[in-house]
Amino acid sequence: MDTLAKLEILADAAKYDAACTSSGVERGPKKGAIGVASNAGCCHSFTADGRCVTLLKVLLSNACTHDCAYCVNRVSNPVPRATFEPAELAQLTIDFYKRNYIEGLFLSSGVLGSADATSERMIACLELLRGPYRFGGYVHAKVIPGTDPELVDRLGRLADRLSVNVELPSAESLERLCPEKHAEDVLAPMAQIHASMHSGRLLGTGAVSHGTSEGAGSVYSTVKPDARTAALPASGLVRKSSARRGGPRGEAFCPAGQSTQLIIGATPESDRDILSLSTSLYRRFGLKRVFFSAYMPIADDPRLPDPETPVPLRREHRLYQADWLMRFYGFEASELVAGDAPFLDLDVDPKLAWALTVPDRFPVEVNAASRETLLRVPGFGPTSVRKICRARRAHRLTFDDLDRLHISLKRAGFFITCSGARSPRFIASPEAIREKVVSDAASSAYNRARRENPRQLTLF
Amino acid sequence: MALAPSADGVLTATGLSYLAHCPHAPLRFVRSGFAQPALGEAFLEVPVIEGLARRVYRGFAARLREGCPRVRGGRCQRGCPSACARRVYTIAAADDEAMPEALHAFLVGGFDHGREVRSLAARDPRIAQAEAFHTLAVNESEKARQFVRFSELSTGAFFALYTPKANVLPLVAGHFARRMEGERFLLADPKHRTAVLLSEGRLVCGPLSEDEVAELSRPHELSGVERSVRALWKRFYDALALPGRGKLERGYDLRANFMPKRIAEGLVELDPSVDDGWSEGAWAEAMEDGEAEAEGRARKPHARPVSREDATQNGAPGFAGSAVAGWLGGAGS
Repeated sequence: MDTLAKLEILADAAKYDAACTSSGVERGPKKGAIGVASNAGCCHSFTADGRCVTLLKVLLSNACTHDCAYCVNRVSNPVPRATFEPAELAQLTIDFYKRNYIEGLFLSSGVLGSADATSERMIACLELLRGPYRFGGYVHAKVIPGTDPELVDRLGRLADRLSVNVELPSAESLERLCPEKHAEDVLAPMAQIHASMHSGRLLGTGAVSHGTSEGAGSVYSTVKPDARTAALPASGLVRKSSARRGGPRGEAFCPAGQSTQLIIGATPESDRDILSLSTSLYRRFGLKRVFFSAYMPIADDPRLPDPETPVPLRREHRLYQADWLMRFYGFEASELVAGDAPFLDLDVDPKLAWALTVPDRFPVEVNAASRETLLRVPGFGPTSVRKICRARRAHRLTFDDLDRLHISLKRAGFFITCSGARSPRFIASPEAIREKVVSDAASSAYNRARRENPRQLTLF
Repeated sequence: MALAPSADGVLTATGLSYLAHCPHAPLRFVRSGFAQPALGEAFLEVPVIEGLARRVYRGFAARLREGCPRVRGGRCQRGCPSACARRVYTIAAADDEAMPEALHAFLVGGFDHGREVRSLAARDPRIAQAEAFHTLAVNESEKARQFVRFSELSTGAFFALYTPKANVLPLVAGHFARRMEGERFLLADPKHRTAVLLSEGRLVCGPLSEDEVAELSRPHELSGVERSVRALWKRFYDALALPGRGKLERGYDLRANFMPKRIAEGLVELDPSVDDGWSEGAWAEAMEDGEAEAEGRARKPHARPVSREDATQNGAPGFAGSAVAGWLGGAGS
């Protein structure tokens, strides 16, 4: 089998992994080497379904010996199998990198017999890439649950980011759908990675994680937030880019931190369960990101949703919005899925849904409100808030000024005053606001197309 | 004042008006060649004076540093996210005819109000416009970093044509030079007639003549492995798409939001002809031929590097006179 055929099989097998970021580490060029890594990362393309392509995301092998019910690579699934040779994959990475197709490599694998044997092969590939090929670009490596700690350590010194996929949001679901996996096999490497990153920080290398204080910009903000929404961690661990720098040859352990993925909709856990779990993971293991992957029915298995079940795209979207609010806007999971509703509102975004439950906190005066308060106004993001805070230093703002600053009032208009004046869009009742927002959304091109054309047949 | 539509042009004109004790309010900055005087108006053609432009820029940067909490030891920190003074260059990258006037207002506002100049955007439409030009250039720079696609030529060097909406190649030249350390590449923008060239560790960025643009726009001889690598990339890209999440299910085209048509047209992964006719045997054969060619090439000496001196000696107003043609042709033979 040639590389072209292998690539098709192994990219297809890797596409269900949601993580595809190249951010979190800054590394300059080295003489004789090729490639750099930049803190912000870079998306080089977008798939037909709109997901970003930033790394060469492939499996080293899809010849997996496990039989996880939800996984396309499970041993009982009759799909073509392939395995890359380390040199083949290293050359492919370099060829794509030089053409500006990718920022680096995302390397995962099915379990080739045992977790350790698989990790050894992955390490061999990365050692080749970092060694003889002198590749200084970004590498994200997946840790196979149950891998020996020594191998995890070697992997972490070759890769910029490591991830261990939790996959299912509860230990019971994991046991039911993945008989060979155990929760402790997943959590142990996460704890090890966290501990190694922590010791790296003490030595002045490796990823910069957060401290233990509450609020945005601290607990969840392992990535430097755009807006300074809260005090820095009490521990005094400031986010200095210099502390993130790590060389490709073992100077730093996992300088871009670790992430994980949760599958949404394959098991009955609620959004509250999922957000509580992600909060706990951020706190315990200093994760950079928790990715959510809407379950796509790929197997006819009585333990899984019916194959005709639509992919819960909007639920996934709302969870990402909620996650973002927790990491950058100072929200707690308990604020977003409060009371007796364990699921996020699919019709309105989580910030608006929250604002409608606390009408006594609005309207806020844009000329006087703190940055943190403005960030909680639906429709305002860090960019709008920065513009407001900057402009109001020069003079009191009016709605015309906000218009000139290109700040949208489509949603925010319901929740703010400007120099004491209400917006022309102001509506007092939360129910009426919700109705208006939902009806506006229903008339948008997005929902119109969905309504008119839910499953349009194509010719032939 | 009629001036070159560049940062140096506006900096020079601003410096001249200051030295002439001319009040800024009645002045109008327009692109040279586009100047249409109103009644009672007269235009002065202002050439670029590099020394004066540098002096004005240094003064402007020093004024913005005053009172800035990020400044350490009187210097801006490397990689400071605000990068206030460098906005002069991002604003100047805009193609818009209003750019000189907006940049002039930004400079004058900066000298008057220091780092608070951006807070004036809500009241001064010219500064708001300067901010908009800056945003455009930043976005276009990001798109260039994302969507430039290099091809390997038969010489072993890399080449790409890319047409952004603002003249941002000089802004992203450093990014590609760091990324491609040790390689040779030429990245050209035919619309703005600008090119970036890295050869033997030296980075040169400059304007292109019309002849050079024509020369660069013709098809070039690709390396043996280029078609095979493109086929690999196209196959990889197609394999990544997930079912059940496409345009039909979403109700709108998310990909088109991120990759507008003007960009999508130049992308290898969206070109259906890239993956045509690649049977397993044909692909392996092409790779073997390409690798043999690359091994042969590795023994050839590199083409003579193009230096900044070449660029100035060989033919202003061109980028490097015959250097571009020489780089493509000479290195290829």
